[in-house]
Order: sequence, then structure tokens, then C-alpha cells
Amino acid sequence: MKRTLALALLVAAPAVLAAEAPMDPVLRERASRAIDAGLHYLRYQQSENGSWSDSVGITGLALRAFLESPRRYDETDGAFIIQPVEFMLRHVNDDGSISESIQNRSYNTAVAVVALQATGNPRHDTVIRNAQAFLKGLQIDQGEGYTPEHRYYGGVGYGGDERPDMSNQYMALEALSASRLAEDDPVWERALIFISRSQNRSESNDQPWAGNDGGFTYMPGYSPHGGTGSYGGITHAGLISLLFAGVDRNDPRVQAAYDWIRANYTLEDNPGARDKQGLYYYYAAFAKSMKAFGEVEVTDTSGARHNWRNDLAAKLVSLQGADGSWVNEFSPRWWEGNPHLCTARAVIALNLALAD
Amino acid sequence: MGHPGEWLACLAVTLALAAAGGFAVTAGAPPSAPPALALTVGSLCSLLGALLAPRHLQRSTPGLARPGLARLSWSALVGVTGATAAALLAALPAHPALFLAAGITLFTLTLTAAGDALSRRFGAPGAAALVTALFVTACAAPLFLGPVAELFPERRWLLNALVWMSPLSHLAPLLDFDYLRTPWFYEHARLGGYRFGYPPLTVSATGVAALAAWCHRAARLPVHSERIDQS
Repeated sequence: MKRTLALALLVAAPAVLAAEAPMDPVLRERASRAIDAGLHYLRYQQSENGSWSDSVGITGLALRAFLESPRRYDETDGAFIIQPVEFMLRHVNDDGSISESIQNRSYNTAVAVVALQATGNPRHDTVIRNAQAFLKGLQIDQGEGYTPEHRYYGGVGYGGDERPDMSNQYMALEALSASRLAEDDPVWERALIFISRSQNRSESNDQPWAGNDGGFTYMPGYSPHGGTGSYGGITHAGLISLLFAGVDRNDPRVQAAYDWIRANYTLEDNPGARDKQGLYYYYAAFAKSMKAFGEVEVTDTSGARHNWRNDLAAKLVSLQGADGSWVNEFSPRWWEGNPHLCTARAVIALNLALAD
Repeated sequence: MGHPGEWLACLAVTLALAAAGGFAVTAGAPPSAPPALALTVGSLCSLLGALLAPRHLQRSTPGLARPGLARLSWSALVGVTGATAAALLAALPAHPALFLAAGITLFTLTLTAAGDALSRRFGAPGAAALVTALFVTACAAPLFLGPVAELFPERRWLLNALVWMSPLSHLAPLLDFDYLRTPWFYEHARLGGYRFGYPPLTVSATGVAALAAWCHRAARLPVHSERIDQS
């Protein structure tokens, strides 16, 4: 028995070591320092009310950057963690949403749920549970008079309208997953219908415009970068949404999205997007989906192998400003002219790259 | 009808109706898009309420007793009618329907007062055309001024000013409706990707009421030729 076990370990060890190929140690060290510098920047940019940019969304992202950092900050570390939590709790609304305005209610609530969950503090359970119910209620379904045939069915939008998109969808699903929504909840099945209708894969997308490159577009029939083209940020959001919804990584939809990522592998820009729009959104989504997909290396369609952790860390370290911040200098669209937002996203991405 | 101003007003209303109809259809999706439908009904009622107002409200004569009260009564009637129509068509709950009634009332009041003030200078048909054109243009401001805002994306006050110019931005929050992120506006106004805020309720109410009072006051002032006659 012992021999069998030893043999098994001997056989498995190289595979485990290969699968856990470490980051370049020099890069890891530089990335760790970049995270500290980014968090230092955020700490001294925090408003007196505990928020960043007076926004629940940005505050939630920045808080998450602290909580998931290698130093694992928590509410015992002081006011700089407690105050943003209190800021978010002050914006809990009667309907369960967590938002300072009627705009972006879905996004704000989703980000806040993930951050509150990351505190691990059971005091927030009721708020999280109510916010989870709010997010579930936002999903477009029969309750709003939509049938499964409609292109919006199963999607989640900004929360102040009735049009869903893949960005809000992915944020909402991330929050539902983080807050441990039951795997058999019908929300996931409905979500898959919308996710499939946003993918350029005609075999699983019944929309007439669907292409076949496997990537994702912003919402069925529309991309902000023109036509219905696939682009990086949303394709990573689509891939991770499929995984959140319980789809196996060997499913053809997941594989098609991964193939698009292989064919368009880059960290120089947000592939398929105009003028580097949404670049830091892309980096954060890239880190999340690559981590969730579980491959240490990505082999692109030309056969070149890329350690995504090394590439991401090297790129983000090179983009960091002298004050520790990041900002999208190429396009301010989707709030990326805001250094609080970009810094939070960059640190979240680096945290994931460094995580075991 | 025969005056060019009346034809222009008629054309502008037709265009506004077509645009509003298109918006109501595309903003949400069938079979229900309650906030979009209610917003469309609300903005159209304000416009039609001003255009179809009794003649003496469109051009008040110096001898008319309590013109402000008459105008307010008419506007309130339009407001209640519009909100009732929106409630029936869009299954609007009582709370937002009441807010919408107040919003339509204020906008109708402002538009009739503006029409009155302008009619002193341009005549009733011309004033109707101008009021219609101004209202429709203001509603569309986020569309054609969006590219200007994109040049200064970090100037939040500029983005807000641009958004607040549109009457739709004052009516939409009454319905808890983020209309600039509906598909059509999101694709064409391009403001949906930037950080802006809708006006708070108190700011909206105060601002529109002040504008109505100013227009009403302007309508009561004697025009240049009347001042000469009086002297």
C-alpha cells in the first residue's frame, strides 16, 4: 500500500510542479512592491467619508484590492478598512441594492457584495443576502414580461433600465457566486441563455448576427467598438461568466472563448477595442478568467507559450505611475480616467496573479 | 393654419412624436418597457399641453384676471391627464405617477409661459414653433453635445450640465429611470460610458419652477412698442 502511494506521488509530483509553475521570482517581488505602492496610493487618496471618489462601486473595488492583497488586510487593521465598509453600508437601500444613485445600481451592488463577502465578517450577512436578492430580481425574465425567445432574456443590466449587457451580467454573477447562491438556482440557467446569445458562436447562439470567432460582444447585437465584434474585456468576462454558471471548462462554448483568447493574446491593449478603451477592465477580467480557467501557460495560435502571470505582472509594473497609481492615459471612457478605479483594478489583477 | 410658424410647429411635433415613438419601442423591449413609455408620455404631454393650451394662456392679454392661476390650472390638468395615461399605458405605480404628474405640470407651466413671453415678440404661431423647437432641441442635447463632453470627460460638472439641459433628465429620475443607458441612447449619445449624475429632485423642481416664474414674469412685461404707446 505504501509502495503504491509512493509510486503515485512520484508520478504525480512532476505534473503538480508543472501545473504550479512559479512566477518569475524577480517579477513576483516587483509585483508585490507594485501592489504595496498601489495600496499606499489608495490609502492616501481615501476621502474623509471612507470612500474613494464618493462611489460605492469604486470604493468596493478599492476595498477588495486591500482585502485580497498578499498582506490580507481586514477590518482589524484600522479605519482605512472599516470606513469604506461603513460607507457602503450607509448606501444600502430598502430594495436591498447598495448604491449612491439610481445609476449603476447593479454594478455598485455587485461590487459591494464581493467586497463585503471578502471581509469574512458575519455581521454583513443580512446585507449581503438582501443584495443578492436584489441582483437576482434584476435578471430579465418572465417577471418583466420577457419570454426565453427574447434576446434580453436571462441578462442583467445597469439596474435603472431594462437592457442587459455582458459587463453587468458578469459582475452580477461574480457577486452571486461569491455570496454562494445555490448551484441549482434557476438564475444560472437563465443567465446561460443570455451569455450564449452574446457569444460569436452560431452553434450555440440563435441570433442572426452571430459570428464564429468564439469571442463575446457587449450585448446581443451590439458592441461599443462597432458592429457585433468580439473584444478582450468582454470575452474574458464571458468566459468567467460561463464558469460561474457552472459550465465545464471542456464545454465547446468555454473552449471557443478560450480559443479566441489564444488567437488574440496580448497585454498591450484590450484586443478588439478602440483606442485602448476599457484597458484596466480588461486586465482585471483577464486575471480573473485566467485564474479560474486554471492554465499556467497560454499557448497562442502561433504556438508561442505565455506565462500569463509573468506577462500581466510585467505589463502592470511598467504602467504604474511614480505615485503608485494607474490610470488609462489613452481613453477615459467607462471612468478609466479615474486613477482610483484603475489602481483598484490593477491591484486586484496583480493580487490574482500572485495568488497561489 | 397657414402661418409658416404653425407649419413648423406641426412638423416639429410630428418629428417629436416619431422620435418618441421610436424611443418607446427601442428603449426597453416588448412587451413591456414601462419607464421608457412613461417618459415618452410625460415629455409629449408637456409639449402638447403647451401647444394645445387655450389661446388666452398662449398669449395673455393685459386685462386677463389671474393669468398665472389659469395657466397653473391648465398645466395641472395636463399633468394629471398625462400621469393617468402613463399609469394606464405603462402600469405605473401610484408613487412615480404622482411625481410624473408634478413634473408634467411644471414643464407645461414653463412651456406655456415661455410661449406667452415669446408670442409678444414673434406672434402666437411663431412662438409655438419656437417653444416646440427649443423643447425638442433641449431633449436631444445629450445626443448632439455628447462629443463635446467626450473632450472633457473628467469635468464632471460639464457632463452634468449637459445632461441636465435635457428635460428628459428631469423627468426620468421621477420614474427611477436611467434613460441614457437604454440601448438607443447608449449607442448614440455616448454619455453612458462616463460619470454623470441626474439632477436631484429638489434641484429639478426648484429650477423648472424658477424658469416658469421667469417666463411668466417676462410675459407680463410690456414690450418695447407698448412702452412707447404708454409714454
